[in-house]
Amino acid sequence: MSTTTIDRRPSNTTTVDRLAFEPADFAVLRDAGQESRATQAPDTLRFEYEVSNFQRTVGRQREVVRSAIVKKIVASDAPDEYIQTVIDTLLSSGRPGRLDDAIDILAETGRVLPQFILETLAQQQGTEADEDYWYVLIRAVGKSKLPSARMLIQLLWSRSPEAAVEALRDMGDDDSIKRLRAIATSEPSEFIRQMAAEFIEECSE
Amino acid sequence: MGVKLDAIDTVVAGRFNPHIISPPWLAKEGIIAEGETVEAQIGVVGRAVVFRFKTGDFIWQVDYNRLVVSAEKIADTASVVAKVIEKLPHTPITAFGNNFHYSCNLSEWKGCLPRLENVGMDQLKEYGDVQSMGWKASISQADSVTVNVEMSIEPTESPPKVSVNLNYHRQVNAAADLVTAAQRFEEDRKASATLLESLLREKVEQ
Repeated sequence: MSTTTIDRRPSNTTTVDRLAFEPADFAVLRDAGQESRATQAPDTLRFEYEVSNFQRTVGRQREVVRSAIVKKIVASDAPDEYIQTVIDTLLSSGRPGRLDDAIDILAETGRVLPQFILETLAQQQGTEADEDYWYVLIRAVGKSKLPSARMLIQLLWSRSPEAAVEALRDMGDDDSIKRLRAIATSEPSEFIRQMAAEFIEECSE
Repeated sequence: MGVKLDAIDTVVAGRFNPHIISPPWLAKEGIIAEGETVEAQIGVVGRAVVFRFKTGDFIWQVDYNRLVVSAEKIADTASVVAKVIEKLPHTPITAFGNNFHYSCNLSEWKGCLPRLENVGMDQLKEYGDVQSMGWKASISQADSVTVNVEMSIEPTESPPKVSVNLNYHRQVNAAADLVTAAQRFEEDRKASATLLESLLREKVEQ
């Protein structure tokens, strides 16, 4: 069994080697279990601050903060909670650009995004009324260009056909253009047909 | 610059009705000033039913299981929570905790950092990009307080950061117990700084 050691070197040293202390230093130490941690601030609370602050950053700093947020989501034990926090915090902020901010962050989260979406669908949460919620998720899927993206866009079509058409444009590959062509001719909604037609034109320019 | 207290949260675990603990109710009960600016941050979005709003220096978060009042400067969040519970004395509550969050850039941290035997950051780096490294302890004290200490290093932050969160947790079953516990906010805050200085050997910047 391994042991830990106390490093008594002077506090002005800066190497990583000084990084040890041992549980025996505590007068009483015990694993008090989950119950005694019930009043710790929720893990995502500090993360919410970071997401809120992200909206106030500009330029290079913005890229740095966005990248840090994405890393936290991906590295988390509970990425679903972190994704939900990003969506909640940004969408409720009322700030201009909040949808794009959320899309940009979520699009970079890789495989955790489809998992989150499938989990959300399985739980039957995120209702039809949450238009912005689904708009953000669908657009993020398109921007992510993940292998499962087209399948997910199709799956989420009824949640927001507008977002789905934009997501296909974001993907921009041959199969997505083909799908846009089909939408431009067969979709019952004239508005969606027109959107698809415009995007096909954009993509062919 | 060394480590600084950059946020405080007081958390009450129990059963709450987020529809009651709202800015108009807080104003009506005199917990916040009438006409105080309220910035609503979260309503009911997607999966979560969490009400979040800001009044003055305080950020409120209320859901069905928890009431959290936070501040990003030194402010007595516990007394604010106590005022709410005094107005709602029959709210079923189970625990009360003050949380003190300290952080600083890794380059400025002069104290101890977590390490498992001879496994430190350098060894972890051999396996890939280290996202975070942490250490936690739960200390049961004689006065029925459990101190939960969590320390984490986030090398991928820019600049790399050290964070230490200290949670002073107390079981409470009645409003009166909570009010008494809330009065120890300042004592907890000082104890958190002392613990940081004596255990982790890092001086807290005022």
